[in-house]
Amino acid sequence: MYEIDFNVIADTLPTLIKGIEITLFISLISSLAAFLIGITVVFLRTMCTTPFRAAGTAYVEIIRNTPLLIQIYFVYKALPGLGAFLSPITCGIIALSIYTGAYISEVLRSGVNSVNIEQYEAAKGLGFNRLQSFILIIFPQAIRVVIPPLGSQFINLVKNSSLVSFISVSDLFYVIYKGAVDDFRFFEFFLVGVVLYMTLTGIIALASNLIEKYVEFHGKEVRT
Amino acid sequence: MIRLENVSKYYKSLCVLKDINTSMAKGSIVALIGPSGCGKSTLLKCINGLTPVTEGKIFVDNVEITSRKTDLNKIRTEVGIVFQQFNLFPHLTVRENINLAPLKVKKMNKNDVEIQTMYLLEKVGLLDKIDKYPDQLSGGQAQRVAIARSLAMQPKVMMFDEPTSALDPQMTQEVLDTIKSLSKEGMTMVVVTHEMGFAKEIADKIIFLSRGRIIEEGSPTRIFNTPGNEITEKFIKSILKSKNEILHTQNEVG
Ligand SMILES: Nc1ncnc2c1ncn2[C@@H]1O[C@H](COP(=O)(O)OP(=O)(O)O)[C@@H](O)[C@H]1O
Ligand SMILES: [Mg+2]
Repeated sequence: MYEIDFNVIADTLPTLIKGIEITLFISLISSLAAFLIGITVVFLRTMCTTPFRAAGTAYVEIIRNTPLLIQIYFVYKALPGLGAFLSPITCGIIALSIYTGAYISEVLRSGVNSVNIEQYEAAKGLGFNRLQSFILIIFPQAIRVVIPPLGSQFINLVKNSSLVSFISVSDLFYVIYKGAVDDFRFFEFFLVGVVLYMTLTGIIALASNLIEKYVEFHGKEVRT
Repeated sequence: MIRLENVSKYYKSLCVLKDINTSMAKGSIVALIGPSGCGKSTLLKCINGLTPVTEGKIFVDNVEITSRKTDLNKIRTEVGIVFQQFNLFPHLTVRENINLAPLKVKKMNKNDVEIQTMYLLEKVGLLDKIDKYPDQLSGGQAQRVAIARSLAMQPKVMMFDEPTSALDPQMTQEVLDTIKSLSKEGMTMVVVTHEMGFAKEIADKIIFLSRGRIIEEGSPTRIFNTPGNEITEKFIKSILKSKNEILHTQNEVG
């Protein structure tokens, strides 16, 4: 009979903490980069001329229709062939950012499409250029209506970050998996994994809820 | 101040404006009237470059805005436009709505902008609403803020596109009063309106548009008293009639 023994966890605590740190680091940097990519792409796709729109659409479709794992390996194995030698962590961050950026741009695009067309006219009528209109007027209204799906994208990112263990990054998943296999302690390690990942994603869900409440007051259009 | 030469505008094959030739003198007030869908809004949007013309030339203060070389963003700051639906920015306070364009487009000094904003709000009678959000204002108040927001760019011309059509009679009056007070300061204005009494009172010139063409223009007295055209006459009568009907039903209910 299998005896549950959580002492094994205590023994690997230092590596476990290191793993959490790496997962946090990758997730944070990738979140920021993915958000910036998403904003840029949605600007190209909604405010720019046809060639830029087409480029934005092509990017989103390519990324959404291929497995993340292939993208991670592509960055890890194919870029060095082109002369770019990057650490596994950097490769993981690049792949995750590009992947999540495509999804975030889609979420933001639905928000931008919900902004009334007359807001563009009002902005233009006051002399704002396209970039100013987007940053100062359209985007702040767009993001208000997409906070929950945006939160989901960041949660997905944290979960997807576990795939970087495939390219020998010692992230949280890698540490858990290794602990489980080395000691034959699957139950303990995977249970700890579930709890830790849920804690990280739970924080994002909570933040997303708070932000949604905070912005909900003054996002509405005035109509008579 | 504004001159239009053979201006035509098509949306694909739909002809919205046809051979418009007219001019608006500096400091004058022009009322643009005509049935719905005749191209009034389109004409205003052409004048400040919100939409390109298909043919013809438009001059604002002797600058040809229909020329490729013209910086349209600059023209738009010189010709302010106020819309029927106010189009305030809902995520910004009244203060921020008014401050934003002078700060970011004109790069004016922050102190000057603040002072100007307070001055303009005082002028439209809404200084106490400075830190409110648009959804905390009534329609009439929102429209007066929109007027202040446009004035903050210190335009040479102000255009109003049915500024009171979304408002009830009482709010209509407060907005009309605001526009009237501007007219006394010598601002060049183009007003699209269905308020015939108002047009007659403030306008120096009335342009009557029908199906994309100017079919009559002249002084208010002439247009209202001796319309030279059957369509104009019909239109004016129908508007006055529907107004009377509204008054009538209100009286009966009251
Ligand atoms: N962006 C557009 N695309 C196609 N047709 C338009 C567009 N804007 C206006 N129109 C058409 O142009 C005509 C004139 O519209 P508009 O200038 O808004 O009239 P008005 O302000 O006098 O009611 C209408 O038939 C309208 O359907
Ligand atoms: Mg109109």
